[in-house]
Amino acid sequence: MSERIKSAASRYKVEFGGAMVLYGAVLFGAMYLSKNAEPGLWLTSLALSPVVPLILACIAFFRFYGSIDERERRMASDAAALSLVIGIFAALTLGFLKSFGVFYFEWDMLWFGPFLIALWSAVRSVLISKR
Amino acid sequence: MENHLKYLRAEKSWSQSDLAERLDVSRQTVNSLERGKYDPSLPLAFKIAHVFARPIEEIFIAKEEKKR
Repeated sequence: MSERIKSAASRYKVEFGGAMVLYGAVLFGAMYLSKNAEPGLWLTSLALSPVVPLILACIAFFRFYGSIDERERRMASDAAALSLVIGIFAALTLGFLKSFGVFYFEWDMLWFGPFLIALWSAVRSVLISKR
Repeated sequence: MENHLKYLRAEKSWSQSDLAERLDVSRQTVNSLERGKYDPSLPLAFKIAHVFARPIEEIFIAKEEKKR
């Protein structure tokens, strides 16, 4: 690995890891503070506060994406496209099952992001092993 | 597409990491290129040609070309 990519990877680990730690802290902090909060601007701010560290995580990812080489970038993009297709099919399948009353899966929108990220990581790992 | 990267690299006694450093790519990318699993973009192909000081067509062989 070239020195430039190595240092970009280390920086990414620190930035992304830091953003995730901050996300956990903000999420649990917001949940704790929201217990006694009245509906209004304060509660809305608390509810939206975990988005800020997620934006930082996105910035860290896109900085890293810009610094990796073309093959790795291609795999990351292919994995994103494949994950999106799989995610759409999964959502449609669950939607059909629910509409026809066969199976109802309680799906909180909060888990959609982590699900897509986990799916992307898994698909990317498969692509790396194949190429 | 096939290529002579492995032989050219051996000629120079470079490791995959050495070549990766010169091309500013990861070692895994050099490995994929050598195994013919990944076809480089035109800019990377030119960079490879520059590093080995050879024309692109001496390094990369299109499969159709090989059949002839």
